[in-house]
Amino acid sequence: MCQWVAWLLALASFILARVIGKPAFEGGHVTFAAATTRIMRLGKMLAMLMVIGIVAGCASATAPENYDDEEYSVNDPFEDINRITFAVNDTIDAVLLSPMANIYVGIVPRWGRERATNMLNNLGEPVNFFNGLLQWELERAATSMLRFTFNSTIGLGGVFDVAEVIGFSRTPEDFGQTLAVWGVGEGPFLMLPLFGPSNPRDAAGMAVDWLMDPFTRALREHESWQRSIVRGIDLRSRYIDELAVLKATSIDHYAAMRELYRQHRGNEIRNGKLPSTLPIPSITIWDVMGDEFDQAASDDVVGVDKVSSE
Amino acid sequence: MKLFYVLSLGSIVGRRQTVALVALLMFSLSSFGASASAADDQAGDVVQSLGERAISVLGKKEGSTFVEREAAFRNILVEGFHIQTISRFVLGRHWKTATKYQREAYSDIFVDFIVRVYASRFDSYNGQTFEILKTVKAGTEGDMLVRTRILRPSGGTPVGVDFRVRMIRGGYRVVDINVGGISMLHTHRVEFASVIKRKGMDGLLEELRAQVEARGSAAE
Repeated sequence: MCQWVAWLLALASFILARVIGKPAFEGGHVTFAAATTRIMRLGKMLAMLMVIGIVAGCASATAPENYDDEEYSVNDPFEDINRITFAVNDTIDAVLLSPMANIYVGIVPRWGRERATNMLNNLGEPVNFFNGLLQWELERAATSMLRFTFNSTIGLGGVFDVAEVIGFSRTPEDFGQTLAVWGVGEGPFLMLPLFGPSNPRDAAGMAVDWLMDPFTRALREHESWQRSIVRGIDLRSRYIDELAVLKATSIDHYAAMRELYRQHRGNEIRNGKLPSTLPIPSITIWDVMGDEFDQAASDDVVGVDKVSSE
Repeated sequence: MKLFYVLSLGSIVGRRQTVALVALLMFSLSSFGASASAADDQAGDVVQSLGERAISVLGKKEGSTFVEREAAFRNILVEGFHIQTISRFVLGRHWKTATKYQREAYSDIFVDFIVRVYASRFDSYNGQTFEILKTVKAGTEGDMLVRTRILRPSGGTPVGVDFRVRMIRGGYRVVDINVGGISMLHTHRVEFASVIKRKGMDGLLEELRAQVEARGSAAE
């Protein structure tokens, strides 16, 4: 299954690479600058193909199934290097991203920041739409399309989220989620430089989202960069308090972040539906049996049931 | 598929009939909801009263110190939550290998830790209201999941918070909180396991003590 998906991905990115790689000039002679751009694009494609290759290799390695084993189902073989990257990211955040977010919040009032968030969200709707389609979530795909149409026009280029008012809430989808729906496992946890917590599946998803995003091509290179930077500051500015409190109140910041990321992604993949409930052994059995009660045995009896409602 | 359903119905049977149909559907749903069991109501009531108490503590933010609010939170947590179930679950299999002294030390420090952490986390909230959506059965142990959502005063997307409650000795007690699909209990469990793996059980106890002390001094 995984190999099948990997082949499909490779094929898709090859086609996309051909489309994007077309010369920008139709005039006939290729300038040095244009040639350089093309080579850079090819390099990016190759990098992406490599990432996708890793996905196929890594994601097929399954995480431990039993929730009560030593690692508590955390698949993190690169923990040492991940922790180093996490420390570097944390430093970059402390000296650069967090101050920028704080300045932004300090000088732009909430109203203005909400307009910016709406605009950035609106630029993301095409990717939501494509991934909704790929997951065959037709209602969500249609919602994304309607939102983009309404907000780009009546909402003045996405500044006002009029679609939300008439009942079409955002339905965020990305290619990492699409891969998950197609059956690709998350693979080992990865702490990416700058991008933060991820895994091979979501990292490849990010690359494919970048490729399928029409605004990647519509905007010029420096505009694309600016958009990414603004997105980063916008995202960071919305979680200033939450991230500070998490850092202050966790006894293992890295492990807490890793678990939060994994559960958050699980929730996104399920589109907010209830997960299957994990067992929490009853303490009253311990009270009867005393301290020597075998927890592993009680877990076997309890098992994991699906939530019966919804 | 809701969207297509409504669209196609609208084109086939006309608008007035659609309205009647939707009304009928909603009526049947609401009567279905009204017949929910008494257990659901009881579980919902427990969460409702916990939520109201927490909000009343946060509402008096101007006239109170963090230490006072923390004391109020401690009462809410100890009465509404089953700390014993939570603390053992969070430690998982490591409870078995811990010595008698470590177990006692852990049980003592865990209450302080959980109160400190959640008092700090909830203290940043301000002006939010919450509403109970519904109560559903949650798999194992006859647990109930009380689904609520927190509405921000500025509008924006509400945050879904699910309280997992369990009947323990004749009353419903909270055993887990899910915020935006993230289980707090499982997050702590993985976090604790990671500390134990690197620093051992005594290392965990040390970290918990350090966290409680750091929070305490930060509050003063």
